[in-house]
Amino acid sequence: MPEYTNSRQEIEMNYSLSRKEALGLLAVRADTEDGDATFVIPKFNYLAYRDNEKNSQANVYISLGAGGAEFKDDTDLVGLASVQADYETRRIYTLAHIETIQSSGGSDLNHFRYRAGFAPYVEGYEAIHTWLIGQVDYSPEMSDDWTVTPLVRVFYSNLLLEAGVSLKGDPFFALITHF
Amino acid sequence: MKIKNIVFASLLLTTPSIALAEEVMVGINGLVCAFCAQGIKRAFGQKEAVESVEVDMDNKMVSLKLREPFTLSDEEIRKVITDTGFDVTAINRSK
Repeated sequence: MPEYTNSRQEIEMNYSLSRKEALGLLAVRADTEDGDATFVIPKFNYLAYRDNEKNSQANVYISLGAGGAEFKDDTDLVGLASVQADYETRRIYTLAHIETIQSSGGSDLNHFRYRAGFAPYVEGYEAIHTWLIGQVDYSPEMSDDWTVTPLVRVFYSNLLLEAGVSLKGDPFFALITHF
Repeated sequence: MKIKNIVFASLLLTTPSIALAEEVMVGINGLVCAFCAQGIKRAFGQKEAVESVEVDMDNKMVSLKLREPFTLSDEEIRKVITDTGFDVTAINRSK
């Protein structure tokens, strides 16, 4: 999803091939401790596990990709691997995501994210939905500290918007749509 | 009498035919996120046989109103639901 913070911006597009498989393109610019790095990575996403229950859904996704990075005026080859697990009811939501980008140069980028959220009200299919979410991010190449971001998620129809401000004061925005 | 006949014939011509369209209620597991369920409405909306689609998050149901004279088999319905990421628990039909 398109995502913005002061130190990291990313945009991602995915095309579903089937219920379990999608092809994606991820572009990331990250302000690492060693300098700016820009990654462009085509990737393959695979739904490894899904559990549909009456009142919940749980998923595990795996992504693998290979692409390039621009870092310190060099172009590096990079590989990406990520795992994401989520669990959701109409009231609660939790997600864990771990991603590693390994480079032939010095532009490795690792990212861990955990989220937990709840819906203050439950509405029908056609309504505006709101979630309050706490997000924790850790990316050792960007900062030694964990970043905690309270955020609001609002979605209506096929448009989903997230906005928040980290406890350090950094803004966070994300936007998802699907066709 | 002539006027009565004309009025009656006009009514017959202008009143829509009352065909009983088939309605299908589909029970679904995993229907917890309205944003994720958009695909269900879109996928059924592309079917010629489907006149309207309603998604009921409270009762975990999708109701389909079919267009005469078309129908949708249980297999077609199951395929749409599973392709969009959910599981079918029941399919009930009525007219």
